[in-house]
Amino acid sequence: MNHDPHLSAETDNEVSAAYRAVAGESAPPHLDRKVLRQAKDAAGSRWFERYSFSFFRPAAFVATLGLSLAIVLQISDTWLAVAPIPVEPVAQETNRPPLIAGAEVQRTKAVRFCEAAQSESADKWWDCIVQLELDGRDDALASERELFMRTFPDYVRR
Amino acid sequence: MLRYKDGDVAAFEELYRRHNDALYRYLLRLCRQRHTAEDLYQEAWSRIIRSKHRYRPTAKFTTFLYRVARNCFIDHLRRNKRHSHSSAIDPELTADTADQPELLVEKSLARTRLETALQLLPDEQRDVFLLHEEAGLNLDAIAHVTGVGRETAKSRLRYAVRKLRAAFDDPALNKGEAR
Repeated sequence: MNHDPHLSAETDNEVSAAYRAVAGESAPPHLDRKVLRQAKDAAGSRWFERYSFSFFRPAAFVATLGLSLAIVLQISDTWLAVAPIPVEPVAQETNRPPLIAGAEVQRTKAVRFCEAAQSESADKWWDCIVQLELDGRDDALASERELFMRTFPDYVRR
Repeated sequence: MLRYKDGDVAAFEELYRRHNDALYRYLLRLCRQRHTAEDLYQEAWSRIIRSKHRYRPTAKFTTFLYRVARNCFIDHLRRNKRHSHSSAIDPELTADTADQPELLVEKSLARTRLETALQLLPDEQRDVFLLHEEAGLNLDAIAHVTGVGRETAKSRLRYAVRKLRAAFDDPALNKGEAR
């Protein structure tokens, strides 16, 4: 069976022939079937692995990316929803008289008659106060005047 | 094997048909029990199939195959330590129903003589002889499969052949010690 020249001293053709003459068993057919079926199944699973992974890996990557993005956007939206609403632009406030303290506004809100005039200008506010005086609205006059004087202590009508 | 690794089942079948009988006979004579040989045979091929992704053509496939099969046998020995030196020849090994009665008797006697002579060989010498006869491995490959040096493999093969020769020439030797 083996023709290796280095084996000439170790081999004996007659022994080999005698061995071959009697050792002629074949692998049982049921084992052949089992092994070949197993090989086929393994090759099939390999095919599935190869082609399915070629598709699933990028898909999984994209899905992960999409999910991460969605989570980040969701978190951003939530954060914006709970964030305080910014106050009105400062540019609009430059034409107004300085803001009075919040507590003071709350206290005087119930008796305010010149609130609209106050929001326009100091002069308008003062005109409103004068009108209250002319109308004899003493209840409102005192509080408006006090509030005006606190806001514009150095006011001089031009 | 590389083609099978790429999914070519027909390539594996071709490989299998080339080696199946020889590997079966190797295991049959190595473990001397038909049912054990069948188990080991199946296990060896299973390992080959499972390892196809890791297979690297660094040696001949035959060398790889017999190394795997021999490892299966060694694992079997470790699991069943009683096996060593205790198994008799499986009577089924000597049966052959395909021949005429006269030939059957003659062949059966020759086979019994061969089996007895092989059984009397030390395990290492029997292993080397079977690798040479069944797998057709050269000394370097036998040394690789059995994990010994080339000179050791050579010496074992020489002793095995000499003892078998003596057993064939004088069947009475079969009744005595092989060593």
